[in-house]
Amino acid sequence: MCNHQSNKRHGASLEHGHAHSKDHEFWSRRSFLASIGMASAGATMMLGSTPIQAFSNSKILRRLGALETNRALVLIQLNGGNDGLNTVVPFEDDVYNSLRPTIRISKNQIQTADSILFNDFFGLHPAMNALTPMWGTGDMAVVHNVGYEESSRSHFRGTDIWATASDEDVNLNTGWIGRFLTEENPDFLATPTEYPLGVRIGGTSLLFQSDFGNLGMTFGGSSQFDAFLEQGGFYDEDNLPANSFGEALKQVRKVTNASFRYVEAVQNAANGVGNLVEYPNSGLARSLSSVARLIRGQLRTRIYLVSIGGFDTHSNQGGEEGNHANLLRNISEAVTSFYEDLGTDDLAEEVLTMTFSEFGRTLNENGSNGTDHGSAAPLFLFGPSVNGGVFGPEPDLTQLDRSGDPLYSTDYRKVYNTVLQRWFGLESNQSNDVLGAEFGDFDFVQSVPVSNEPSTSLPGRIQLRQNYPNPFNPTTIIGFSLPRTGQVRLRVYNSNGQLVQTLLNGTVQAGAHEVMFNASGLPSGVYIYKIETPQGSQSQKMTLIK
Amino acid sequence: MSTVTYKSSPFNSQAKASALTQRVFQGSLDVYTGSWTATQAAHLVRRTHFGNKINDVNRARTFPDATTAAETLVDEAISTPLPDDPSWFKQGASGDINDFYDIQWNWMDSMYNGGLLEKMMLFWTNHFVVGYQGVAGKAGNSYANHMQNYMKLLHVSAFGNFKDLVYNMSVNPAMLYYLNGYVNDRSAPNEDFARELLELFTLGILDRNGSPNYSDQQDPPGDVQEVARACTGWRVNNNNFTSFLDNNAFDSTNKTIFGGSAQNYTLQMVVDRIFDEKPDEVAWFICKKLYTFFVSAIPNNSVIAEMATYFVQQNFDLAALMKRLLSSQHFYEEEFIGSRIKSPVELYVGLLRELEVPPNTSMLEFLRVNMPEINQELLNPPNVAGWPGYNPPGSDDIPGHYAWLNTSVLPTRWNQLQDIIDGNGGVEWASIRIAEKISNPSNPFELAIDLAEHMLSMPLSQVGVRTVDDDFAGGAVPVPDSVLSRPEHEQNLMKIMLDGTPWYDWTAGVDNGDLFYPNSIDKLLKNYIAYLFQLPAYQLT
Repeated sequence: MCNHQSNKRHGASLEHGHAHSKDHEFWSRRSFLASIGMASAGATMMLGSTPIQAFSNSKILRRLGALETNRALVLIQLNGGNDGLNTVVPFEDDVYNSLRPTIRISKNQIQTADSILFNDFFGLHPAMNALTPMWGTGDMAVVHNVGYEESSRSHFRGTDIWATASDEDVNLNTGWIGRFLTEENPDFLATPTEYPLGVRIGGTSLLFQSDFGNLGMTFGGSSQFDAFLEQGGFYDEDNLPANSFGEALKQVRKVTNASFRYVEAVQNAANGVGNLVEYPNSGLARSLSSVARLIRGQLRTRIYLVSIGGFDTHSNQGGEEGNHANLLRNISEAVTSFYEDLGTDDLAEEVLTMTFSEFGRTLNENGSNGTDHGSAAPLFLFGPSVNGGVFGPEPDLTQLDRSGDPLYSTDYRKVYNTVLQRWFGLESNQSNDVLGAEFGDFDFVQSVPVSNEPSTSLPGRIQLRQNYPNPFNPTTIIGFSLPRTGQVRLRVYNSNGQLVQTLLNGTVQAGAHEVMFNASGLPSGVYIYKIETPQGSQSQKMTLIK
Repeated sequence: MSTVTYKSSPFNSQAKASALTQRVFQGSLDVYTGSWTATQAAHLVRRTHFGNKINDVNRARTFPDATTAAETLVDEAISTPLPDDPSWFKQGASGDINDFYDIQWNWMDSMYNGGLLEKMMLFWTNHFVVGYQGVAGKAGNSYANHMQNYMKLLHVSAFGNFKDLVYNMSVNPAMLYYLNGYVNDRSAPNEDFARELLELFTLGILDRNGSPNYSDQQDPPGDVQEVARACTGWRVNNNNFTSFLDNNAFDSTNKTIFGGSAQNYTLQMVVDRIFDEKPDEVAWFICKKLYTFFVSAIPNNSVIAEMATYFVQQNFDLAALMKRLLSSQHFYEEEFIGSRIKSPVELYVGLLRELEVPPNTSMLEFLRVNMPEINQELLNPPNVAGWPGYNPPGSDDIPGHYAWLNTSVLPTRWNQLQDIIDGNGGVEWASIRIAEKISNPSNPFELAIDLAEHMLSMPLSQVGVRTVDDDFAGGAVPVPDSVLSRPEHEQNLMKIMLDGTPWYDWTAGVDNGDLFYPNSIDKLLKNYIAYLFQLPAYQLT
């Protein structure tokens, strides 16, 4: 029998039984619960029934209120360690050509009319030619030779390091995206969002791990995504045996499906919208097509993770054609379709896509026409908001680490930092919190536009004024000014990011205007109104109290 | 009384051949003679313990048949010695709530280490309900001592004679306090205990045919009222924590119970009268509750009738009844495997046992504090009828165990299980140890399946595993054909556990338990365990 004498004596008397249990709240973080998007947690956020005060101090809503765009990041994880030197090919390099006699991509193969050539020395593997249009319009950036000190050659550690943004000799238990989402949503536990902060269709779960639990809503792939939409949850409530076990499981599945707060937001987003182009027949393409539906459906999720496997090309890697070429072709075609899809209704500019892999591969090819675990490799960024081009120092195939592979030239966290600061608008102290140090940045992506600045300092800029009255019931006036005549869209969203009403959609003269918003029939809560013009967009929040 | 002759079924030989897939024996308490495999052994352990500890399953597998297994478990439960009294108990009443918490801690600790005895005691605390808060309000500083004695009574009586247990429980000080027997006085009889004795402890309001089992009115006095008078006079001595009959408070006039001749009934005579006059009704009532608790939340009336008949034949010997039930064909029907929603204590202690996380004092306190958030505190049921989750369906016919889950408590269950595996319950544990114990840790394919089978009650084909579209990660070494020929749901489980890790790297990383990347492997394993316990199927036992 155990000895409890050493146990702390909690609470003073039985009458305070409830207080007793509260003493121990520190043990029971509501976190995990909130992070997986469950309906309860004692912090159920129903705008209709939650005191407005709970929101007024919310950093989430302040950020939402300040958002000019719905910027999203799509991460493509290349599982297995992508061979960077056969992706961005140094075709004129003698070291490359001599150490890779069978799998090398030759100058002739790469200097064709369709190929993407950076200069006379570097070009993309010809299997990536599908990207030529994006490259041509400046919608694609490449960062050379990205890695870190003492690169791990283990899939485990390599994946953990890239997911957690740690140094080689540091074990972190949270992912950089998990920390970013925590930084972005400090009130998440008190006021969990009705939408998932992250959606993961493949890839490593560690990326979304946070102190609040895992923030990525996970789908095993597009087939589970489709089943989820069809079933209204993750689990099939039908097709169970009509017996004791089947009845019990059915009941539990019902409760489980009903418990996911995100079901509605995801269903609302994905149902009723489709893909507007054909995607190639591949797992990655299907995953990206699901992401496109969620973005089109205005799910407010900012981070999506998809993955493609097969990069651990120890044998029969192939050269111009073959296994590795097929993988690169797969990515190129899927990404191209994804942006064509998003581009059909002007959503592409809000979506940045980035690739990563746990390591590059060896400079030498091995004896089985493949490459082994190496260190640095290039990263790709895609999207119309990208400043197209090549960034970072090129690899030098004569400057080698002690395993004989080229020394990395750009720390991978510099790329992450660029995304955090420029794409998501984090202040440098915020992104330092996420990444643990200052790593500098590139200008491969346009910075988040400054919002809510006094218009006097920016003459000619659109202006969206605070509604009046505010709070209001049920009507309020929204004022805005335009520097020039043009196409204007003014829309109201609820805090889930769901469109509530379009107030204006058409050509509007330059000058000051006012529009009335009537919220009869809508529940109390915080709403966001957003103006979109060719010169930019702005948004504000307003509070309806009934 | 009707008698039933137990014949051996003509299908017995088939049962041997085809084990679980047979459903032809439903409604029979005949001995299960089908094959005795891990499936049956694990089912028996889940139902008679709190979750699967691998050693218990392995041991149960070594029994030659269901009869030996059931008899051994019951006999071991009976012979489990009473634990030493805790020091606070010997020192007398202190009124310190921690003395009572110690009872809960010790009990959970015993649940971790023990099994059927603690499970049966749990059943009895749901049958002969004594809520400690009800005692605390009346017994002053001595309530923890009374609760400890109540637990000791259950320990020694759990598999004894039911009639004896009814009587001993009726004069147990904790019960006297809880149902106000301690103030039941001849001058103004208190009906509280008498009503529950008839309604909840022995007979139930209605018999199996829907006819009333007893009368309940003031004029002329019904059975409840007469029993109440017969139960007057019992008082509690708070110095030695025993009860005694105070003849000055006892109503010694004649009473009439279930008709018949008027007599000066005492409490003991009341219990005799109930069992003599209505043995079938008593047996039916308690067998239905045992069936619901141990077999299925959906009562099978014909099996319960067989149990009741046998129980009467055995003169209300609980050990004989439980041996028979736990070795019956009916008990091992496939449809009952994983058919009960876990109660909170089964869920938590079960996870600890499955993962071999021995509870330290912090963990026991973690469980004690957190279990009420999902609607269970040991020795504190919501009311005298116990937890609805353990009871047969009410008049609405909705299985009682549905009451354990709703959209609020299910996420809280997950949250708290996650806290436990994250070490927030106070025990840091290395996930690789359970992997080594139940499987070959360096073979990710076997390990993923073995862990899932270990943690989930039902065939994996029925649990609703996430579909993973991607192929196995890696590509350098082909995934063995023997893996690719496995059913899709098994391959999905393997992929979920590997989480993008090339399989051969797992093998290289886990060499006979020597971990080259312990942190990474631990994260992957805990992630996978979290995936498993978030499956709806994990809520079932």
